[in-house]
Amino acid sequence: MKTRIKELRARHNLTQEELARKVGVRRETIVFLEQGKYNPSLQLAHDVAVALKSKIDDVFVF
Amino acid sequence: MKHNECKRKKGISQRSIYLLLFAALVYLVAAYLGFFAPDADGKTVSVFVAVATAMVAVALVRAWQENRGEVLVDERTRLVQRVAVGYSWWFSYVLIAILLLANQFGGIRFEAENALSLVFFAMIASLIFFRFYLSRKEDLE
Repeated sequence: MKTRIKELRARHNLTQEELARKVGVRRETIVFLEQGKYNPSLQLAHDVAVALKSKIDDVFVF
Repeated sequence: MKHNECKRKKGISQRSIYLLLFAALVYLVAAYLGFFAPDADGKTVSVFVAVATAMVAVALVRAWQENRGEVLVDERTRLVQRVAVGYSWWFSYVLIAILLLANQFGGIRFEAENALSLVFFAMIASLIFFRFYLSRKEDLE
């Protein structure tokens, strides 16, 4: 699954570590999410979208 | 369950405290064996002390990380752990089957203590290996 996390994170000046702390996961999980190598739970997808001030559809490309 | 239920506030988790308490218990067993059980050899006592020391080291590292506010467990690590336990179970199952066949047809005689020790260490080692491997693997589905 493709994501726009990296792009949106850069737009909000967030590091992977900061985003990880915001949504309560390990930094590695953010790395895998950005690379599209991990399918998150709906809850995590929602939290990431909220942290990036976007909609889930804008963050995750289905 | 919320995915970030384990989100850390700074501070030591109960898990680390339980690990320290269990290590203290193992130290007590070692002390008992060393001082009050004349039949116990020094090697057994050393193993108990080594295990307890390893547990203390792990607990202290975890506590240090938790105290810094690091997230140690999240939904992905829980998924990795679940899958690794499953793989490790199957690995041990196959190992036991091989041991049984070797014992039955291969002409290799295993004593129960040796076979149990082998399976005991294989389970732990395979769990650690699969956890390491899967945590670096891509999607786990």
